[in-house]
Amino acid sequence: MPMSPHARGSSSAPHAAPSAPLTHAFHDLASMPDDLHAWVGSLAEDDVLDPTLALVLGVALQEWVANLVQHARWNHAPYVEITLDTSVDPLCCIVDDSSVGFALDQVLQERRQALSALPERGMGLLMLGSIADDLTYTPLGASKHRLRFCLRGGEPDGLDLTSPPPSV
Amino acid sequence: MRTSDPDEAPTDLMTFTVDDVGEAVALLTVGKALDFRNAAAFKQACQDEIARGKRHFILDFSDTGILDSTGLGAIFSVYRQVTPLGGRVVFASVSRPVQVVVQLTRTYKVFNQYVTVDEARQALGA
Repeated sequence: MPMSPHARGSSSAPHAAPSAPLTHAFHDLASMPDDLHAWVGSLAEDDVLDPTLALVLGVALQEWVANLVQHARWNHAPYVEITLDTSVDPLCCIVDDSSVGFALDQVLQERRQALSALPERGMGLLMLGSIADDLTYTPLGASKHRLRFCLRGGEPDGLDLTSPPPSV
Repeated sequence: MRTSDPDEAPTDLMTFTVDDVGEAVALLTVGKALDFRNAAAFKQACQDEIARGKRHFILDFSDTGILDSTGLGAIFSVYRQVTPLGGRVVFASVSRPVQVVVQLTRTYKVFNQYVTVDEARQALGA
């Protein structure tokens, strides 16, 4: 018999939230996805993050990293630094990068309009947007950009890729 | 058993294997990741299996820690190809990270999930 989809456990505040933000820097684009998931996974194993919250964070950051690796134009040597602020319930995340940036809001609008059921491309940033609250991507000084978003507790809305409504 | 081309798989984490488990059924054992780095190779491997006469695909996610939108897009592509042929794509032994993606994207509405590969094979008559 087909297995019923698991109900996702509600995300809650970190088990043992540290007072100082957590920061991790990446210099190698090729290994960034694997390094990212190893780092986020270690935070869950160390009880710094709720395990479900860590998995949702991993999904969001994977989509952003994938976008950077595939599409970013870099001002100088690629550099990405992720900072997690776990003093905010449950979590806010900052991702600084050394790319020339792009108009995230405009791209999200274009992707929403183009989205179809079971798409092959173009849903990564929409997935990020469906998970993250207060999503912004802004210049940071002369040669950097900053993505900032928060995760709320509980189950994110997500993005129905099987039959997206016209208004998605 | 066939494995993905290591030249197309950037790291040893990116490999997957393909096995015949029935006349029209292929078992794809996804490795640590199915994402933007190996989605094209995955899609090509499935297309090769379709050309060999396979119509049903079991995706074994027991060891998979990363499934991103590009990986999902490759799975959707396979689904689009086999559905008109009467084929199916099902998931087996879904890991917790993959289950989170399945829930967020509601893809459980399209892809039946089975606890084990053996259960998936029985469901597909393989």
